[in-house]
Amino acid sequence: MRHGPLLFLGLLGAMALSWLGMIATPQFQLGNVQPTNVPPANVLYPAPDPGLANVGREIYRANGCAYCHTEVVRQQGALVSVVISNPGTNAPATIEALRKIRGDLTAPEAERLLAATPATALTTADKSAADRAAEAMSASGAEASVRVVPTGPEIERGWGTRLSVARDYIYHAPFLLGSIRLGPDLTNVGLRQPDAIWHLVHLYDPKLKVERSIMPRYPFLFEQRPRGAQPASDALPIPGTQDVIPKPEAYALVAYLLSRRADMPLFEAPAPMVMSSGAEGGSTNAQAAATNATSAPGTNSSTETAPR
Amino acid sequence: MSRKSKRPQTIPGSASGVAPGAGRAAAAASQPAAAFQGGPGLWGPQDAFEPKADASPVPVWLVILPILLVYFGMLHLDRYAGGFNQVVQGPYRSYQQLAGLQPKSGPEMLVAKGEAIYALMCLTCHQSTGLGSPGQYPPLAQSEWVLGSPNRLIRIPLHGLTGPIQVKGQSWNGSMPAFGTTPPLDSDENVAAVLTYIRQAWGNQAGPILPEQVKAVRAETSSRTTQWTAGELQSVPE
Repeated sequence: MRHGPLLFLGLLGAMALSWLGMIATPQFQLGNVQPTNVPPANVLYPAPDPGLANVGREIYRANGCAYCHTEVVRQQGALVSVVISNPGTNAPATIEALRKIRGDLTAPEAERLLAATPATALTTADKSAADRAAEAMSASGAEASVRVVPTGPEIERGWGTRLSVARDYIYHAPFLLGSIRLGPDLTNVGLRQPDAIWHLVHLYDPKLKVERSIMPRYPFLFEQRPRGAQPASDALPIPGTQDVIPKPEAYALVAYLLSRRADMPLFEAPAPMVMSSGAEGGSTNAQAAATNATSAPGTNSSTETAPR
Repeated sequence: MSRKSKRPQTIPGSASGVAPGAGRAAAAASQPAAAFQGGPGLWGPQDAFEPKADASPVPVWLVILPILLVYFGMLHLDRYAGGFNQVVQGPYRSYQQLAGLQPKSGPEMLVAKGEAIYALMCLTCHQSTGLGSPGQYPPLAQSEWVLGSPNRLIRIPLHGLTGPIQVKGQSWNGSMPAFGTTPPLDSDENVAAVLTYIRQAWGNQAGPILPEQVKAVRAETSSRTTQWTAGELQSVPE
């Protein structure tokens, strides 16, 4: 064949360029992402899932849940807000400083805002303006800090506090990102719906929990027995003549769902932290968030009755 | 078909001058013989011509289009790829942007607060450059009083300074009021913040001042009401 080698090289070049751009470059860039210590409490994130949740992941995968649900939160942008955690003792100075950064506030309104701390004084896209405002408030004696406020439809919907990043998926083997949302995103479902019984009833018959649900039923994850005089102690609270007892697969799947959370603020994904009353908002809040992060999987999986 | 493709060879045995009828008969009669006289083709003379790939020029637009695509692709990557940094993902555009959005740690907050207090209380005299005003206000940049002993430095804003003083080899004779009871410098954190700021601004490189140090100095000098003099400060232990 004439020009055979040239044709071969051309084809090879096209495929190689494509492979370099879509496989090799992302592997170099993201392939060695490791769990990291999150300051200031130095919590290791992410943590491997508890054993029952790993079993549940296989059941999630086997039942094709990823065909209707996703596990990724997208974020459109980020604003910054100045949060006053402590108004301090010098009321006139703090009120004046607050009115300088918020020209629209009258003195009584400023006073009310400072009385109801923790309070957001200002939300803006301009980071340096927020920094200056926080410094001005701090200089007047209040305790103020700058927090990042992720924005986007999925954040507003409550599907997450921040975008999903590569580090979140280290222990997702395989990752079950999904591609279409016939049902809600499940990245943070363990935070949104921490009730195991709700999940068990929902899996048995989604319409019992969400009237308009189009999700199919999964009765094969449950045993059904005729109900005696009283419902069995481990039966689900479903009215009717049958006792619905979850099988171990159902418990495992629910353990997996309850372990779904990705709200730890990271360097690559700044997120607001839960407010707590305390001196330096940053350190105590991160510690609270970190404690929640490490204890949640354990507590959630222990609320279920032991599988038989 | 390329204009340069070769024309098929004429079928051997067909003559141009023979009458049609006779020519067809003659051609039919000569077909079997012609088949074996043809070129290298297997199925017949028409196979004698084997097409070959030619080096025809590539249309210009087909070359320009990928170049344009690559160019605009690179513009897009410049803007959105975050420098191919591992941690730059999603709506964030650069490592610097992410670093700026991190919550400030303790010492950084102190410096930021100190900068704001300096702008409020000290800037009018000592200037935003820290160079002061010749003949009136001594400089803070590279000043041995600022970079030196915290004990001596803390006393200056608390109670003020008066009388002749040597700063960077020059003699100054002015009067600095006391700020220790004026908000916001009535709080130890704020005094520590502004002193930490001046110790690391304008090229100064000295360690931070802690609120505890300010508290200790206030306790030691609680009964003082008059301004310090350079001589008194020199006698304070480092």
